[in-house]
Amino acid sequence: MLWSIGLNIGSGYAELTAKSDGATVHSFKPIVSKGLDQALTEFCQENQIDEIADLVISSELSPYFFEKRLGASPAFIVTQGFEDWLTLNRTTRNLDFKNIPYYLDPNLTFGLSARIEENGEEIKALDQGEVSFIISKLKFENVSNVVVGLLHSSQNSKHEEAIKKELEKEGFHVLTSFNDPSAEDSPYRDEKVRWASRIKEAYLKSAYEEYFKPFINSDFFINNDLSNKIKVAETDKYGAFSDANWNLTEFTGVKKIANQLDSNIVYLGMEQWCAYINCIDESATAKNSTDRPEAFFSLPQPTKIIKPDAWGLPRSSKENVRFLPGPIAYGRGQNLTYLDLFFYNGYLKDSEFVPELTAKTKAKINEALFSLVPDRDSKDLSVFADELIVNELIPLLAQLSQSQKKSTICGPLSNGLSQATKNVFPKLNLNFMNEELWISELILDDFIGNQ
Amino acid sequence: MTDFDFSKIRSALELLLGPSLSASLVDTKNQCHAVRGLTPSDLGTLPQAAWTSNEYLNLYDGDIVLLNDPYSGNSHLHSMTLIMGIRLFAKKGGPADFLLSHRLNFKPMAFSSEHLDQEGLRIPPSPIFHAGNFNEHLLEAVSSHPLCPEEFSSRVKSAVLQLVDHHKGILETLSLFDISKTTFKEYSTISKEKFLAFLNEWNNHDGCVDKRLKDGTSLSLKLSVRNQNLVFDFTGSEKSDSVFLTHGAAMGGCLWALNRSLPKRSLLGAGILNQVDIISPQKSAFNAKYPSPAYQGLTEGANLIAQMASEAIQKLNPLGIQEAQTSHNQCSIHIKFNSGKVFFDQVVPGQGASKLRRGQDAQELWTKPYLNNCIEEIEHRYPIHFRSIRLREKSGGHGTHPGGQGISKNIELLEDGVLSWNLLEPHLRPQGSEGGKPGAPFEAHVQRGKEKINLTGNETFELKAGDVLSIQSAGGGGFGPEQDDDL
Repeated sequence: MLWSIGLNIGSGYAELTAKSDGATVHSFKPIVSKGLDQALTEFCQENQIDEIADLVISSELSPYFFEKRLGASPAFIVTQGFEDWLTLNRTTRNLDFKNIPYYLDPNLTFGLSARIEENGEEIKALDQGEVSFIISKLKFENVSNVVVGLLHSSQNSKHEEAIKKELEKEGFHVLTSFNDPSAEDSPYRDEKVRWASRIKEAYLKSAYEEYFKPFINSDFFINNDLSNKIKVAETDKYGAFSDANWNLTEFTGVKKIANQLDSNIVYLGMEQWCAYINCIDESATAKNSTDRPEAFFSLPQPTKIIKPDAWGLPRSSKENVRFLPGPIAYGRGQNLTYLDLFFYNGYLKDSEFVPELTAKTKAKINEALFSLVPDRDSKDLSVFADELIVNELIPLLAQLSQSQKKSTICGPLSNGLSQATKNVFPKLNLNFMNEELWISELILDDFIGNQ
Repeated sequence: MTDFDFSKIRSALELLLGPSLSASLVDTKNQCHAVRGLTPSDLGTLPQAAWTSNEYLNLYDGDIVLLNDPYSGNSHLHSMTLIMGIRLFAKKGGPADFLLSHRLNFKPMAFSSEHLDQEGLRIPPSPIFHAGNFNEHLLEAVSSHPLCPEEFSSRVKSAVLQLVDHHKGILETLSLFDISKTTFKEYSTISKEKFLAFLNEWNNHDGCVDKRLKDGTSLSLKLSVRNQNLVFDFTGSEKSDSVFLTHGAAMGGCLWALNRSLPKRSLLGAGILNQVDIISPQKSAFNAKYPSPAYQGLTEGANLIAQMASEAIQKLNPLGIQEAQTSHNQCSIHIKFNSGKVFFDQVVPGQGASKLRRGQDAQELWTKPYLNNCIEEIEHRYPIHFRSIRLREKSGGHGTHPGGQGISKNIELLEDGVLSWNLLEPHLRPQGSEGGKPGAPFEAHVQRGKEKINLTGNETFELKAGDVLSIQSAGGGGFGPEQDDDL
């Protein structure tokens, strides 16, 4: 039988769905110790998948790559006079710009004097000499990825396209901003969004290439002849697999899923929690106003360390242990994380997630919880663990419970959240949960639907 | 009350404040239960505007009032406030026992004025929404006034409807979180205990800061902890003939600085606010009256107070942020084109360095950014052309940790217009700390062909098409002595 496989990759886990002639199978596979090819091999063996028609991939890897600085700064060709513009905007309310200085190297930023007017008219033509000079600098710096972001290129892309053509002739990989899909969501002409999006994409390219190299060279990949069968789930379309096509940026799946389902979404994955609330006011006034509510909530993350804040209240800290060393439950971690709370209270039992919680690791989690519980000798630690799980999600959940729009909570930890909430905040009714929502299945269905 | 319950109530208060980033929830007995804002002035004026409005109009559940008069407790004329009466615990049918304020910001007029009425249209507390209906007469009257802000009616209506929508969920929120008068009291008591524990770490001596304004007026602040109260005492401050603040501005500046020194994710509420006293003498710059102009005092003036309060807090709080100065000048520019379009912008300064790290480049300290700066959109809407927007090189003060750099903006005009602005202290060099050097001061000029015309930051200037306005914002002060490689 021919199977189509959906694969959602994180830094610690791969979430898999396979479909064939009405049959559907799901699985979670840890990949830190195994590797992606071994995880897929096991999955196929367990489910007797002998022939693969398509492998559709989405990714949660980019936050991990950004955090660990695993990408490579691209060169950035920008309108002269605005070389600092993205850095100057890192403190705006849009979190997308916050870390831009880490992805941009000022030594690789080049200003171009060519200029387009806001109505698309050319004010100053492209200077071939400038372009040649930039190319020679790029060669000297040994850069392969270039982002071109010019003002008003969405009105007239002539200059960006000409530069791209010149650079590609010289073997550079070029991303232009005029056709960046993220700009479609913005009600304004916003060069920052387009430029930042392309820079992040270019930054991640080398990280993805490095990450997938072992997989591409693996027996599983070769034996299943995957080079023509892999599809990358992008924001709007499914691109072919190729060296030049890694544009798996942040987990844009949440917003896409939210739009597909016409629902608010809270995704509680093993390594990423995110939420998208469909609350954008579509009125013309709101589009022009800066007082737009944030659609994406900032949530604690499952592998972040829980520490008391300066008021003594336990909270998610900035430190993320990911899966190396990972949460205490994995045997190597030293600090309490949200994932530990789920394991501690038995909300994650499936042996696919983690080797069984040992007495030693359970005692360590006990100790960590005790240290956070001041002056409460007889406090039931499992209740306290539930409180910690729910605590920082309360504002989001309360808002969802009052929303007119349908809400969906999905992901492997959603069941645990529901249970914890019933235990400590029973009035908060999370009866809109759908634990059966698999991201890998959604992207697969979306791909199949587009065929 | 457990930590979890405390956190829950805090979350509930955040939810009750609603979607506005500048909002306050107060009761009618002069207790402020929660406040947050985008500017220092917001923190002091949002609660005050609510109490004043209720004093005049005695709001009932669902009634909404609009005001912008700074001398009725509001901020400047282009920061409008909507106040809604809410019945949380009062008897049905009676007046509201709580007031929710939301701020709505319009494009301000930033120029040297001698009279409040030159700054814009003044609206005293006025009923705008009652029993499900808008006060269309008021909206029409305001909209037809020559000084009415752009899109006034549509934006006010949209904000009112947002409040009305929010109001529908309030009782649900109360029920969901089991909030009663008792839980509110308990929450305040615990907040107070936590705050007092925080204050206990502070030094016992006074933190004194003195400033002299450009017109020679002296401002004096003495900060101390007295009988479990944190007292910001401005006694000794003189009256000014050119800078006019209100008690709300002073309070807002002090609360902004205090909030910066508190642990992250603190929510200013009764537990903390009841332990804070602001003493602003009657015959001083802090008690301006109509018709004194208010824009400068309620923007840069409040920022200056926040700066003074921050410096005073640093002296008392050894564990807090130790940092050099950041300019409190907002560098707000206002260009009115002959076609009638009005362009407003702010050029952000560099941040002062701290004991731990260098100052952030181009980071506003005294306002949370709310303008959405898209060059393409701005050039699309207004007859201007940005020539460049860059970091202003070498503008941060030297030091072990150098100050952050300011911004250099060059704007070409495509149409004639009039520039107006009014910086409080344009020549200010943000001071360094602990041996750090001061940052570069603000500078501006107009390039008209080959002619360079210097600007002071306090003028009304006629610009012509083709002129290039060049603005350099101040750099932050450095912290610690200069290193050898800086020399």
